[in-house]
Amino acid sequence: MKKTGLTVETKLFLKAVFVCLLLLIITDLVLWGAKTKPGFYSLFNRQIASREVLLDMLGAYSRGSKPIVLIFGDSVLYGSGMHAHQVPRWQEQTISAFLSRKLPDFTVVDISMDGALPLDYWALYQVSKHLKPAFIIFEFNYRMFAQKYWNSGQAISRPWLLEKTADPPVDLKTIPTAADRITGVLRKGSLLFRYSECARNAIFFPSREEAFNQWLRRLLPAKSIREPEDKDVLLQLKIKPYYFTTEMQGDETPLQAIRLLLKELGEQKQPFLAFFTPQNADVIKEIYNEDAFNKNMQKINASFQRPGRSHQNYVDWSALYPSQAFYDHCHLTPAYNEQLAQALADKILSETRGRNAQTPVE
Amino acid sequence: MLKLQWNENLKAALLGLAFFLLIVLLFVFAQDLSSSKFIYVDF
Repeated sequence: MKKTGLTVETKLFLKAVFVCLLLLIITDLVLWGAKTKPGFYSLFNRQIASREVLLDMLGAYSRGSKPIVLIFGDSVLYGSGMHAHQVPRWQEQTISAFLSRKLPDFTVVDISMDGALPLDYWALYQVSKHLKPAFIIFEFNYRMFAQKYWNSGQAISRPWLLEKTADPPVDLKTIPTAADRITGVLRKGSLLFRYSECARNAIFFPSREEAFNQWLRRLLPAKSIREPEDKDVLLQLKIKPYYFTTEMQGDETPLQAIRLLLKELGEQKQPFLAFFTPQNADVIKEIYNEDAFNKNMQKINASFQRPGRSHQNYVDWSALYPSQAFYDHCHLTPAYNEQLAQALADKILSETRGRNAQTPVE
Repeated sequence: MLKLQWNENLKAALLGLAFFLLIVLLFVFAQDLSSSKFIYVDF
């Protein structure tokens, strides 16, 4: 069967490689079109796996004509608590989803990320400020000020956020490995790879271990995996390091990041509201260092105050809701997500209307 | 002869599709190389 010097098997293999390449090109072309549509990002639950995805997502939302409300948050806004409690259609019951429905005249862009930290917000603002949002919401949580994040090396949850950032406030001194380089090239060169990372993060959310545990829980009798009483103990073990911290001195990286962020927001005359997310007093009183907690809350609140100005862009809502509002120490149930969204919508509307009526926010 | 050619092309297309799916699966399920980390774990 030899015709051109190639065996049948070689010809078959080459043809298959050609088909494979063709499919890769077609997939990238489809993704190229899809990434311009905001709805595309819901397919993988708004998982932002890289700087490239973040830029694509911001680009997709900026195509509309409505003013943009940008949301910076952590797991409370992302909806991780509802995901963990297997709330049906949890993506439609996040604070930003409710906010989006309450503010039909705005485009609500939610770039919240599980485990976000104040320095992440500073870096995210560097990437997103070109959108010139009409309003920005920043959510802060006590976890963000835990002792483990005081060190500048731990103060950013995703080091790729500092990529290409001019004059970053912390020097992470990361040495890119061969894997980092390969990943970087693939993210730039292949949209399939870029969005596979997002799909992977969504499939294995919040972690591989936890995703496998959830799958096993469905397959095996519930009691064989974890006893119900274990749940409370394990939750306490997880959150105790967040709440049982010593007193902050004021020069910790999360506080520095807030000062940098506020300075930049002021320079840009960017309207915004920062809020401290509600805390479940019944859960945290079991584990916290009360004296340090109160002093740290005072320091956090003070870092947002603008002396001599009547208008403040910060609200401390840490004691806003009763314990039935929460799944755990801070993650809200859908009903309270809606309440919080209403409170935010009211603030946004009064601020933006105020500005339209020539009442300066700054 | 034509049938033989068609069979070969079909085989190549299926093999190409298998290669493609293998790449997709590798991208999605391979160990995460990036430095993202997650905090929220519900116990």
